[in-house]
Amino acid sequence: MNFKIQAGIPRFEEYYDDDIDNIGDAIEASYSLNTEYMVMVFNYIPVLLSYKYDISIIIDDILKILSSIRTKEIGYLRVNWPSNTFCAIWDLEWNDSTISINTEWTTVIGETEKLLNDHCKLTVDKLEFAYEWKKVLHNIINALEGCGYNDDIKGVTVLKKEFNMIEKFGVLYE
Amino acid sequence: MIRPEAKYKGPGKHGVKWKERKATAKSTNKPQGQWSEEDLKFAKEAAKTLGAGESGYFDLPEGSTSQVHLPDGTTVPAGRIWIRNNGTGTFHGYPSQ
Repeated sequence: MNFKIQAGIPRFEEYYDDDIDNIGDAIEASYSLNTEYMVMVFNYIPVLLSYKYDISIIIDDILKILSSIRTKEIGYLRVNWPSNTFCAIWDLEWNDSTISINTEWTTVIGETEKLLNDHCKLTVDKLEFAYEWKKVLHNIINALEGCGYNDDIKGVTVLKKEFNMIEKFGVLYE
Repeated sequence: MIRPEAKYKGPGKHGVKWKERKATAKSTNKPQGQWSEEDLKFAKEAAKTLGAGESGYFDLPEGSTSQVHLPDGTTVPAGRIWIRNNGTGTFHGYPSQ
């Protein structure tokens, strides 16, 4: 498959900050800088994302994508990924069975932007695309719970809902 | 009404009290911007010109005090900012060279 996610086993801090009230800040506070990356394989090109400093920033967009493709049989969504180390625009278009992603990459860790822009389009099975994210959501839920963040944190209920609605894990974790 | 994400006034990524700024620049081999309080006010005004989900670069005015930490360990003044209107009443962004 031309889209895969290796979620890794990122270490978290077991640190709780009672000033935190939203999922992005809770993720940032939970993870260490120097721990395993999430590796997104896009058209066979690996893209590294830090749980602490990328996933924390893009989690709301990830959940929006997963919710949108689950609840709307046909749709379109433009995502302007906001992390300075995962900076890209994705135009997602889906029907009842597949999702097509047209991308424009600005900055990623490792300077593979040109390579990604040369291979900027992909189409995958819509359900399989969602399966790839399930392990990432699983990692985040474990970290947040391990640090003591509960459903009172804004976004955690949505995170758990989307996790539960994805039927199974991606190909690396079946 | 649009405001910066709350973490920019504290120790979060790009925040005014962010401590891992230099380590992150080195770890990612990418420049890492850090907001000043004054430039967050400028960014707030700039964000009002963006529609929900839209983003853009804006040149900082003279006298701005945001910084950019480079992978080689040096720090330079920021020349512009990138911001995105999240569409939820907040904006995400960072200073850049």
